Amino acid sequence: MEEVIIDVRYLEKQYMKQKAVKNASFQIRKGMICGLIGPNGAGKTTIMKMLGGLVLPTEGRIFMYGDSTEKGLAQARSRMSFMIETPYAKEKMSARENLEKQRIQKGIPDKKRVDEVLEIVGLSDTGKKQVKNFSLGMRQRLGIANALLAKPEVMVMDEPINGLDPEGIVEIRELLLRLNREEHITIIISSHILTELSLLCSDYIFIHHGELMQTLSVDELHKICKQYYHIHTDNDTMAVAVLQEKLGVAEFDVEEDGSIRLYERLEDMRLVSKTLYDHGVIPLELNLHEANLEQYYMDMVGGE
Amino acid sequence: MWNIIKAQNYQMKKDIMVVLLAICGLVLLIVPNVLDSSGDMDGLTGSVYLLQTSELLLLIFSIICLLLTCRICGWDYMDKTINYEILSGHSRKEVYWGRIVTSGIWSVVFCYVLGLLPLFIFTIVNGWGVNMNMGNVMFRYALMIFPILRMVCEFALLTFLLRNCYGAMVIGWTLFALSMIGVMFVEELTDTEWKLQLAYTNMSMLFDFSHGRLGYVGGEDVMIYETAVDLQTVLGTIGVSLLVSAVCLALGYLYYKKSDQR
Repeated sequence: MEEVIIDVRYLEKQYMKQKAVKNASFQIRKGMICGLIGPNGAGKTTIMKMLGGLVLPTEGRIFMYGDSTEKGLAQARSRMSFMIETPYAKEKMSARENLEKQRIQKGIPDKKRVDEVLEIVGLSDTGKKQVKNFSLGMRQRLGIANALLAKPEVMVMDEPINGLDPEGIVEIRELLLRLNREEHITIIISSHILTELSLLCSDYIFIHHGELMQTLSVDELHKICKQYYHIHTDNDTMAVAVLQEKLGVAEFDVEEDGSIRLYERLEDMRLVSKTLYDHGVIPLELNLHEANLEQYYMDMVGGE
Repeated sequence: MWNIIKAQNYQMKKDIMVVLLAICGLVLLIVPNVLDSSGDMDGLTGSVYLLQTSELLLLIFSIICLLLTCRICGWDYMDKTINYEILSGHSRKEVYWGRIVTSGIWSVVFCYVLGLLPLFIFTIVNGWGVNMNMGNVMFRYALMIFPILRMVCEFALLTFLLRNCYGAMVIGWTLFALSMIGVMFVEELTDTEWKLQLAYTNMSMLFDFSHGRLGYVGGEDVMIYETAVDLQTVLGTIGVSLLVSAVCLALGYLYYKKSDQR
């Protein structure tokens, strides 16, 4: 199993009378692309700010690379990059000047790195244009460029595709996937665009009202969200045998109550039903379930 | 911490406010003196220049400390770029002290350049003059580093508390003005000198050339001003400045270390 890079244990953040984050525990392993999913005010940004050291937890601990001391966390953060809320930039400086300042501040000796990251995000031709004249999409790209500057091992990104046009969204998605695949960069990302997260993430953390509702891998989510027929018969054990022997079915699950989730032959339900009946098994329930990440999330939060 | 200092230096070199401050400072210090001389520049020796501008110098030094410190410590709060330093792995200690050191360096260098450059120019052109002892004056200039650094620490504390560059400038200037006026008022009422303890700065003590006597030099009657600094003033300047600076730095750091960043 991959190394645990970030280990969050019982993290809480209290503001006056309100708890923004309640008892959150999760682990981020090397190589993950982990999506933080939740509505506005759920606590995603607060968690990211606590990971970044901007906000101090009220309770709980954060371990990064196995160390939770102040010094250890600071050293760990030097191996990571963060892009939280609207990317920060000096308005009256150009993209190049902003990145140059960050390069100096991070102690990166290679001056060419600024040009490299500008090229990666498509801002190399902005010249002396001041950031105050940038569009939202350009500012997001600058934020991503800053995040890439120090060649991080982990990238924590809060809604990085906000304000990007569809082409830009695809570019950033492909960039993040490439960074994860080729440079083995671990990514924690939050977004409201669940379809994008479903194309990007290997794991999901669902947050609602400051509470961690669930953590799922993409395989687990696909199982849950995959289209299937829920079959309940008068003799489920016999039904399984009939499906396997007579129809050669292999993709199915048997639930705790014995009912069957059938993931294949979805277009052949008449044949499935007839086969069961012909072998003395009477189908009592035969329902198609069709869920995606968005539907799953909406069901989880109860449509709030 | 050194990377933060270098990054701040890089940013300050590109800040138009720094250029404007330098230009305005030099213009304010040189032009009125030149205009006052009404074409007779020979009489504008180094010591005469200092006599004419000592009060203005104090004002300019205070403004420099205020503007530069608030800019360095507070500008990055307003657009949240200060957050990048923590996110990059710098500890709060490094971020805080990095900005304090940068503010101190810029304020001291700026004050001394603006304070000494015109003085040197007039001295080179017309000589030092006979009105003041140059060695004593230079000693006063050297002592000035303590109240300058004290003001930097005071304005830095204010900026870290307010997290707003321009708010700190306004409130800092108000507090400075009120403290100077307040001290003058108290001194009038009580006939004592409390400047060291109560005012935002005791710079005015170091550049106080109001005590003089008539002397006869080179066949002419001239005013000779008392420039020697007594031990009490030296110790008070250094001691009170260090004490106030330490308190301000400690309070500022304690607050910054424990506060959430927006």
